[in-house]
Amino acid sequence: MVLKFVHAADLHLDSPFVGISGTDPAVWKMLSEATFEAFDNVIELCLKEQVDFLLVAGDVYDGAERSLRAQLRFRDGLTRLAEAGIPSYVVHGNHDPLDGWVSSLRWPDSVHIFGGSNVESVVYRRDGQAKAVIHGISFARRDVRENLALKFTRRDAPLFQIGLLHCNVGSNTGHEPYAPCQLGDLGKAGLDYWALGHVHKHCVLLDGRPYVAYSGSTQGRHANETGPKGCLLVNVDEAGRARTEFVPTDVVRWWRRDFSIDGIETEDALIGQLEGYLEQIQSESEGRASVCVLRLVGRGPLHRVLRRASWVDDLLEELRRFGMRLSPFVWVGAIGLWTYPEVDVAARREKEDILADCLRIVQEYREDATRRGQLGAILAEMFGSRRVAQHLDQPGDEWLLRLLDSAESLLLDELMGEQQ
Amino acid sequence: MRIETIRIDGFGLFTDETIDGIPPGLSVFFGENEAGKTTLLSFIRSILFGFPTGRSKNKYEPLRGGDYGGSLTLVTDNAECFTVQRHRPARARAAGEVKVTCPDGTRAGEERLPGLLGLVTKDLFANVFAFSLSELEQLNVLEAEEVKGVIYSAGTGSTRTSLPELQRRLRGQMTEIFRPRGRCKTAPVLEQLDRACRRLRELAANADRYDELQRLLSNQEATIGRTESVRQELRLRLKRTERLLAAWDDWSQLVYLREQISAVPEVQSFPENGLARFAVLEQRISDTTRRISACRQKLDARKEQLERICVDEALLAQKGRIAELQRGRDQYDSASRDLPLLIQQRNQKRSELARQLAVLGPDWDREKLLSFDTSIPRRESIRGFVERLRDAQERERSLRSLVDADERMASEKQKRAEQARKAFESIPEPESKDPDQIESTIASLRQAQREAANAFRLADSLQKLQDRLTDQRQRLEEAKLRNERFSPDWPIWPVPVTLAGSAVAAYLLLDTWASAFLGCALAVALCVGYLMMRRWRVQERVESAQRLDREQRALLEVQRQVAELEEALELCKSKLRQIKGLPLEAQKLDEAVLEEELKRWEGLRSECERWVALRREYEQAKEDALDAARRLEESRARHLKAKRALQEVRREWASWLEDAGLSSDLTPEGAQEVLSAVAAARTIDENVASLDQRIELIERVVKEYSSNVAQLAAECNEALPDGADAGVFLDGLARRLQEAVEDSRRRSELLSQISELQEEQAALRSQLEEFKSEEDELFRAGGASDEEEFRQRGEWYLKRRELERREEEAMGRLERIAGPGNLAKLESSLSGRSKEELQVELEGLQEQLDRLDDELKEQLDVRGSIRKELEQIEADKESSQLRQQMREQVDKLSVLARQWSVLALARQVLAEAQQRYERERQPQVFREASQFFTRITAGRYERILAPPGESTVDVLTSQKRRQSIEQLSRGTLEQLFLSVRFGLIREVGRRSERLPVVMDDALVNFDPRRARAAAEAISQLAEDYQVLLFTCHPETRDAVLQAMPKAKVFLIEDGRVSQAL
Repeated sequence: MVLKFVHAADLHLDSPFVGISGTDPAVWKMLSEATFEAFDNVIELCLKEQVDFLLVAGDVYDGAERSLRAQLRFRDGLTRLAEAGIPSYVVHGNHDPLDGWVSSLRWPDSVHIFGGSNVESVVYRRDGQAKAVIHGISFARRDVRENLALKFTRRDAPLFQIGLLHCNVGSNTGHEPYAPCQLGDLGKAGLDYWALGHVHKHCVLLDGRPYVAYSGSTQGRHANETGPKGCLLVNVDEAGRARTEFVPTDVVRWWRRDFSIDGIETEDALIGQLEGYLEQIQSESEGRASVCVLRLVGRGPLHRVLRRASWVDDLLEELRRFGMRLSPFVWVGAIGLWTYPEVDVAARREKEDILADCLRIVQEYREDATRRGQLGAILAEMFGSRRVAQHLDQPGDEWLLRLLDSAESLLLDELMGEQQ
Repeated sequence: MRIETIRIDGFGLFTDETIDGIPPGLSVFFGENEAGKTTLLSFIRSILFGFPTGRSKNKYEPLRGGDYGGSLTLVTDNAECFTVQRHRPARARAAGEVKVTCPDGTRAGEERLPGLLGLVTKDLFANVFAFSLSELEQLNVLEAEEVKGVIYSAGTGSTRTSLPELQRRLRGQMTEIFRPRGRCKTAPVLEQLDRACRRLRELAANADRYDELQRLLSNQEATIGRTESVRQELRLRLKRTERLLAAWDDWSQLVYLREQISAVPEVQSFPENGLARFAVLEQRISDTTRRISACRQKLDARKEQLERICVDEALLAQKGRIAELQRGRDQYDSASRDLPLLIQQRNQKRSELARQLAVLGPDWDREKLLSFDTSIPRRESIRGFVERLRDAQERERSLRSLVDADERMASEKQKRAEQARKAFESIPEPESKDPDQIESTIASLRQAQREAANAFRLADSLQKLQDRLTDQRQRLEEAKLRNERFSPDWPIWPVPVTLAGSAVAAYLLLDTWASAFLGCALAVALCVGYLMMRRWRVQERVESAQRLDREQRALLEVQRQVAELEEALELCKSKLRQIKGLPLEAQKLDEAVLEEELKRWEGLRSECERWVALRREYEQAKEDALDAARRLEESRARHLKAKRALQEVRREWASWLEDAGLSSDLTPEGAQEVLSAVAAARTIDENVASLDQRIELIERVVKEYSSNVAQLAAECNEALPDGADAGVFLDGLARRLQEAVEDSRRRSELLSQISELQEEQAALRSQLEEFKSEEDELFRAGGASDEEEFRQRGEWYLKRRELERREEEAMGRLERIAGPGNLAKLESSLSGRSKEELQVELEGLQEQLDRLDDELKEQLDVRGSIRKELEQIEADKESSQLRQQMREQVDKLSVLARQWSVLALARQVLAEAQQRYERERQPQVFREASQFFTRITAGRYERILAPPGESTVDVLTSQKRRQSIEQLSRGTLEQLFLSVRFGLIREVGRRSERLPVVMDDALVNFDPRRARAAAEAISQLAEDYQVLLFTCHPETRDAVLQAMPKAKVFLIEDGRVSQAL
């Protein structure tokens, strides 16, 4: 084995968990430490595998303000590696650009943090002998829309050459298009391995020369970040071929699932299904604690029950109790209610009454984006309020569509009355 | 549905009133004020939906008696007929109790009513179907929930939700979630967020502080570094001064020692430890001299002791023999001690033997004793005799007691047999001795008795039937007679004859037409009378013939029964005759005789049974007595045999005794004792013999030992005095031998000691010589000629050596202080400086150092506090927590915002739908109502507009002008509401049972034209619905009748209803 290193990214140290509320103290404690412990797991992996170095491809911290706690924990982790003779190479991303506050921490000599103006190239030496070149550039500010990949060029040396970059490859990553580039741009640089950050889901974009991979984030932090999270253990053979192994580092795993109430007759049956799911999560989490977000969808007789005031809150409380009894625990972060009464809406829309009018109007809004745009004015009462706008994004079109679904359901409930 | 009959038992001023024949279409109930129209309306409502309760002013309780309530007969749209009856018995609930009679005649209770009335409720019925002017005038008809339900159920699907109410509710929920100011669910969330933001900003300041602290820390560390280096130098100087001070004492001693050394003369060589060695040699020489003289003295003493010892050699030569005799001494002593004791024992045993022989008998001596046979077979034969004798005696004794018992038994049995014989002979012999024959006779008698009873019953029945037969014959006769009375029929011809006659007579009497008419009438009357009589007779005859036929059939039936009975009776009698074994003649068989005979035979049976029992008892006793006598004989024979066997055994025993030479009167037990005594005597005899042997042996031992001792004494030149105890003499010899042995041992010991002492003396002398030559050698080595000089030189040598050693030590210490190789430097530093000077310098340095330590401590403290503050900032988790809290609050806010937005959108959609609905669609109810309204107002108004969900309507005039109802006149308003009701009635009718419509003076405020138009509208409604129109106005009645001439009119007058002609 010529070279062995760990490629991690998007640590988002000390970032809050999204989409859960009313957290149990035990859960809270675990969640508040989760990003740190995930990072510790990365460090443990480096030590255990006796790697040559660690690469961190941006977004070490969650906010540009870079929580001091996060910086210290990050420094402590890298110091441990330095003490074991393992150097670290770090670039910063859009979440922790260089213009953010940087504490006057002393970093071990073997930690290299790349600057933001030019691509720097650092030679990694083992026992005094050059083994690899690492090229990297940090985000100088948050909003980098420049194609940074174009700045990378191979150094004329017969060494393994790595590009360390936080960027958005392609256009459909589901992430903000910071430092946008194309896979071809990366290929042109003539490097051997691209250690990328920014996309939170691990993926290998190119398995060859170069080898291009997102390691994904080390710890999921909301319901959209389900499944295992971790880093890549990279082995480079004599021929300069890289082989990666994904190693999970997350300490809390996220799960999300939609439950259709179609055909479910009783509340007990629903609760039974949900509890069964929690048990399944517990058994599939490989000994980790889990957080899950459930959505109730579909049409069925149970919709009427679910709509009862506080029923979903009670359900949430009961499921949380159930989940906390499991070991390791499964915390139910939230239950979303997206169910509909058991009505053939399309057929109902064809009738001649006020409900049908309502359904038709909803449908018109759905189909007419311009009209839909006018709904913004109605919502401005709340979203226009300075105090609300400070914390919430303005309603987007997709969100409006979902709201229309719910409004439709509400009107069905109200106007169908008891007889349905 | 329509009402067919109204039945009032008691309600207001109505009592026991029935209105039937109410047609399906329109009926007008006309009556003046207080005639009871409104009461009737109320009655209909009450029967269907319950009596007025609670706060109702008028409960219409019966004023003129009768049960409160009544019934309605209803015919449904499916032409099924139900009767609904409602009354209020005592203790029933106020609304009354309902009985519904269904078309199939079954009864049901109130629960059947809803099914019958469809979705019409009490209020809906009162407001829409059965209303008076007062209800019509009420504006709130549209507000009644049920009415709204009807109006908008078509519009909204099915709900009863009021749209304005829903709008209000949605708005309420929205403000509950969010409002810019004031309490709402969002407010605390936003507040918390603001708080968290503020706090986070505060914490962000910590970051600056952290950097500053880091700077301060590095400055402080530089200062500390400087202080520490100064301190280090001072410490070095201090250490140096301390060293000089520490070396001072050793250095001054060194100087002094060097002076001392130069004062002592130097001795070049002196033996190692010379003085000590000389002292040791001196000591050894004096010791050796002393020991030689002591040795000589001891030698002299030993020689003197040796001369005093003399030894008896003759006795020593006999040492072995004396020892041997002493070993035999114990045997000799015990033999001479035991001998007299044994002799005494022997004498005792001899006299004991003599006594034992005397016990056995005078003829017993030692020879007989020894020759007597006491072998085991002999003992066994004696034991055999003992057992045989005992067995024979026991057998004889037990058999004798058996004989006694049997004798007693035999006499007892004999006595009993005698008694039984007497008892048997005391009773007479019975008439019949065969119980079986008696039993069969009794059985026959019983059967005869049963048959006789049966025959008697049959005869009785026969008698009764014969009586009936006679009766029946008589009745038949009577019937025949009656029948004959009616025949034959009266002829018909007298009628035409009389009529013809009267016609002729009338013709003849034509001039007097009155009498002719009278005559004719009379004739006709006669004919009619005749015909009627004739018809009656014919009827009577037919009936009589039927009766006769019935009587004949009855007679035949009775005759058949008589014949059957007679047959049965005959059968019974023949059975009676056939019974065998009767002790009586068949003729005498009546029940009394049979009874008596039965009793007699039962007496005979018990007599016979008793006789047989006694006979059996007697025979049994006789047999028992014979048995007992036989057993007694057998016992006696067995006893005799046993007695003989006993005598035989005794004889055998006597002959045995004789053979053994024993006394013939001995019993076997005695013989056993003799055997034992012989054995004992033999044992004693054996004891005596063994004692004799032992005494002889012991006497021999004593004699032998004494002769040995006497021989020894002679050899030792001594004599054993006569009669002296050999043992005691031997003891004296042994003692003297011991003394001789001791003397001999001491002599040899002294001899060896003397030779040892002589050797020691020689050795000591040679040692002394050695020591002296060694001393001379020492002096020579020390360079001295005599002892005194040797000592002087030795002392000088030692002193110088000591001083040199101390000098070396002092130098060693100084070198240690100065460090290797630095001694010279140290000495130069020390020379020329006083101890006091050094002390002062040291104190000064110490002071400086202390000051510097304090400074350093302060600096370290400052650094510590900076570090602590840094650590605090580093350990701070608050900002993490705040961010998580904020995140949670934002999540919460977003959930609330979503809920709010959904409500806002729903509200918006609803508002739009409402506008569209109003614009594009009116409920069916209002469309139909509009038709009625246009018709009643003769086209002045075109349409009724209903804003959806609102409890009011607007109207559109023919000029397309929209007017609210407030702008309408009273009459028009009533017309509007009447129209709306018609619309509602039709709407309900489409979805449910079409209930009858009852209107109480609804048209009073209408002008004649509109009243006519309204009447026409009502008649139009009456084509599909039953309409009961109550009015007190003739013009209304007429208008209605004009519009619908078929309408039925009922008059109501003071609680009475009648149909108008």
